[in-house]
Amino acid sequence: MPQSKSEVVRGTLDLMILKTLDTLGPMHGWGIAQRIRQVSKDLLHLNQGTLYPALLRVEQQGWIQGEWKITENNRRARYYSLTRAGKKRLVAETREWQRFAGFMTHLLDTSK
Amino acid sequence: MTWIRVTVSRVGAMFRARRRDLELSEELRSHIQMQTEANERRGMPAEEARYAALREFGGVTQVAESYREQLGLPLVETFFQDIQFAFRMFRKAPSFTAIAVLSLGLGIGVNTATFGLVNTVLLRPLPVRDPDQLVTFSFRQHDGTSAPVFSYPDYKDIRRQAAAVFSDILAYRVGLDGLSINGQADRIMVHYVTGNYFSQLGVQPALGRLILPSEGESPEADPVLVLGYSYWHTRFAGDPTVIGRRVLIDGHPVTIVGVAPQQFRSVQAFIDVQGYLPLGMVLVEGNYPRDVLDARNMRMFSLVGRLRPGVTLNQAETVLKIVGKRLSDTYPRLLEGMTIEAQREALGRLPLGGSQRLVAISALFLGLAALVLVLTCVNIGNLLMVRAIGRAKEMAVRAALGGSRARLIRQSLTETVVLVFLGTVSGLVLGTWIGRALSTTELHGIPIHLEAHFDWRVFGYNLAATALTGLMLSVLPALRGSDAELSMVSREGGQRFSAGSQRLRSALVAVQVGGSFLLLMVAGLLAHSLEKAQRLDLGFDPTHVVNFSLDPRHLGYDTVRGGEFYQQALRRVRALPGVEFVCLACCGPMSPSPLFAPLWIESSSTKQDRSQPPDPVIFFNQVSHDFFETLRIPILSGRAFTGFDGRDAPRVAIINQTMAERFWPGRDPLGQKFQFAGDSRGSMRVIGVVKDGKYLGISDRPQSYFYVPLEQNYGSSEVLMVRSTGAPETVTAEVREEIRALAPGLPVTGVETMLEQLDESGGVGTLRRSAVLAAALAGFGLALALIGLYGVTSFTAAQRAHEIGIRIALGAPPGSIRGLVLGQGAIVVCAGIIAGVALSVASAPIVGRFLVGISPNDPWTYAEAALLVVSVTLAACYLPVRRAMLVDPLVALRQE
Repeated sequence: MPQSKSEVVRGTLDLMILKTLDTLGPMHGWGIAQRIRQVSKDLLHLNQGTLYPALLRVEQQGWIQGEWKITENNRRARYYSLTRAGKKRLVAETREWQRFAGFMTHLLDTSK
Repeated sequence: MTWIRVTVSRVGAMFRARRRDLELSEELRSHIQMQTEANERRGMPAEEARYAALREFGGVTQVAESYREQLGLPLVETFFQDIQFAFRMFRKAPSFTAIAVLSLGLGIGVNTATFGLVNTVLLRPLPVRDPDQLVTFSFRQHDGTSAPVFSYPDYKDIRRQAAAVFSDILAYRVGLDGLSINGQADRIMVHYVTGNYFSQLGVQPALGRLILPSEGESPEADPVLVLGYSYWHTRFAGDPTVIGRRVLIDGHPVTIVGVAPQQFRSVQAFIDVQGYLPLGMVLVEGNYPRDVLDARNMRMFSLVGRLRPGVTLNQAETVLKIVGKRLSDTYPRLLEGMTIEAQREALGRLPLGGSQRLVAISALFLGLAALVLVLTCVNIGNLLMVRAIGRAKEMAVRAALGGSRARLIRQSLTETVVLVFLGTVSGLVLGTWIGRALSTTELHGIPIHLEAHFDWRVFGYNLAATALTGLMLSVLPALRGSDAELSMVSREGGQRFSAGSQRLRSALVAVQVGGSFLLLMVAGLLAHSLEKAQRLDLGFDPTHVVNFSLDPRHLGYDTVRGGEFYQQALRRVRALPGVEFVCLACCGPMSPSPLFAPLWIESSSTKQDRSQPPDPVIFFNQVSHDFFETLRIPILSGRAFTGFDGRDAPRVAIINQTMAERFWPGRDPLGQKFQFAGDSRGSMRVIGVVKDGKYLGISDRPQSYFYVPLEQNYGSSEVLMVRSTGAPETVTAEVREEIRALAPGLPVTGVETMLEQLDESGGVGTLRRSAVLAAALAGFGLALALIGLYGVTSFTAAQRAHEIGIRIALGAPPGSIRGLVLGQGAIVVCAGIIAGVALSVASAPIVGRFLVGISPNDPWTYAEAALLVVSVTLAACYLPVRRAMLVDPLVALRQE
């Protein structure tokens, strides 16, 4: 897989964002970051800041959509939600991942 | 597909940058706030909570940067930034900017102007229908000489017999006539044309009508005149009521029927023809017999043919060969061994002797101009390099602040682009300005229109030159390592610098030196030629003589009345104080339109059969009897013409030495006879032999020449030559007055001293202009080499400043330091001179063709050029050497 490390990270980060929004529904950046940390049980140490360029990238691709709303604490925050194209992308990417994971598992198992 | 979406989004974001920035700030602030609150809820004190939140987040600035890069089109945005920065940098270093922009401007400007000229002379098509089908003809005689003129019967035959390859052929003759309205005469340039001239060229009149196909065939019928567009404006002020007006052409009444279109300047690309008349009207010029259109020996018409569509020039030439053979077989006496040659109209525009010459010369000049541009680029590359070293510190800081290598390289490339752009603009301005300055001139009263016009071809060439320049200037950094790398490395001690690129740079400067040497050689040779030319023995004394060109035919005087006019003019002018001698001649020495004719020589073997070589064609002049005294031409044997050699006396002639040697070798030429081929008036007796001289130009080789008395061979167009006792300018006004008294309204043209005329048409003027041009180019080239050498030497000195510091600290004598810095420069200069000598030797045969009285391998000139180069280059190295000597060892050592 001749992808640079940063590309891999980028790719998976996008997927994480899509999945998170699929699960949680419309959410702001901080909320997404919290969710990712929660799910990875603190194993994934991501600089929260790297989320934002990723969010922009995903938004540019048209998979999510951003909107300014008021939070429950009366603060202005930008909420992102999954678009229809995003949902389709999520399904396709998930399938890709599962296939890849299955293949790797199989490979590592048999070459023992 | 998503990339389209992405790009669109990015482009859009570019315009809303500020708003997105603010939004992002707000979004990030909100994020950090939320994290802070979460930390507080977990029990952290307020300040610590905030710090923790920030740490968790990562570098805000970096995130913002990363975000922004994703957002807009970073390349475009940074490009604008770079441009602004570049301008600021240039403002801070005005002398460097000025030198660079000016050099580029000159380099590109020279190219633009040169190409503009080549475009006009060779490439730009005539403003007529399908100009690339047009072909001009020349008549090559048995002895190899060729002339672009044919007789009318020949024209008709060629037209008929070559109809397979030419859809039509037109003929015309150039004439200088007087157009009088109410007694005031203008001398104008006209074309006598066949009826199909305008219809074949496919042009439409600007006013009225043009010459019709039915007009022109019969002598003196159809007295109609079509005006040239610019003449219509200058003489008639663009008055639309000229149609139908009657004027006099050489005293003959004609009616103006139309005006030619604006861009059309006749089928001769450069001459601004002022009027068009039907061919038959050529008789108004008075000198011709009535049957001129039937005389096969009167070769006076130029032909232009239009190839049939799909016919190549080769095919046409084959047909013409057959036609020529047929004609020379049918008329062996007159046309024996003649061939007809054709070439594309564009290639025949300048009479340089062969179509290949024009292309070759154009290529030569374009090559030279391109060379100048390359040298300029090399130079500026060197200057940029020196500048880069000076900015070492700045580059280091920028790199430390996070500037990536790519970014820094991109920034210096942008600077180069801006420089090239500025240079191009100034080059364009300069180029068109030069072009316009050369545009319209008058040569011997002939209205020349050399429009160095700015059309798309020139623009395209300019663009190409710019692109090439830009490429060269950007490639050089890649070769030597970018400016940024350069500065960074030089801080580390220059010894680590790759020897390869150093050698390349030095080689390039050596090339510049070599090029300058070549240019200096050419300039020097031309200058020496000029000197020689001015002291050349012309065979006559041109000082103190002033010429006036007259033609009483312009007022309609016939042979008798004209002859009387001239007699009276001679008498009256001779009587003026300050006039030593006065004479008349059909053409002045080295006139652009000399007389020549085929002769029948009566040698001892008088039998003239077909096995004899065909008639020699010799140049001659028709002169009044004071001619030889006025011009101080020595008579070697026999006598000059006298008043007794009048119209009814036996016909006589005077020949020169070469002619005597050629036709009557080893015998006394006096008393021998010869005549004009086919002349009904019979033979002429040789009564005198004069010293050889130059007749056509200063680079003439010795040739035969003879003179006949004016009284026996009247020609209406004469040059009045007046030898004054004092300065020739003093008598000019009085002579004019006398002529005006005799014939008011007669145009007097070409008033200039003999020296001025020689300058113009003898080739001295051309030589001088070439010498000046070459000197200018040489000076420019040398200046470039100087800058280049300064750059290289500075670089060496700067590069090794560290080493020099150590040496000085260790007590090295100043001489060795000088040697260190000069050493590099000296090698370059020597290599350059060797290259220059090689180039000069290689180009000697080409250059030699333009020289007079000096060989292109003249050793003195070589020595002069070498001396100049060495002294200039020493000067170039002076400043860097001085700076090297003044290096403070402490400073140099501290740079480690």
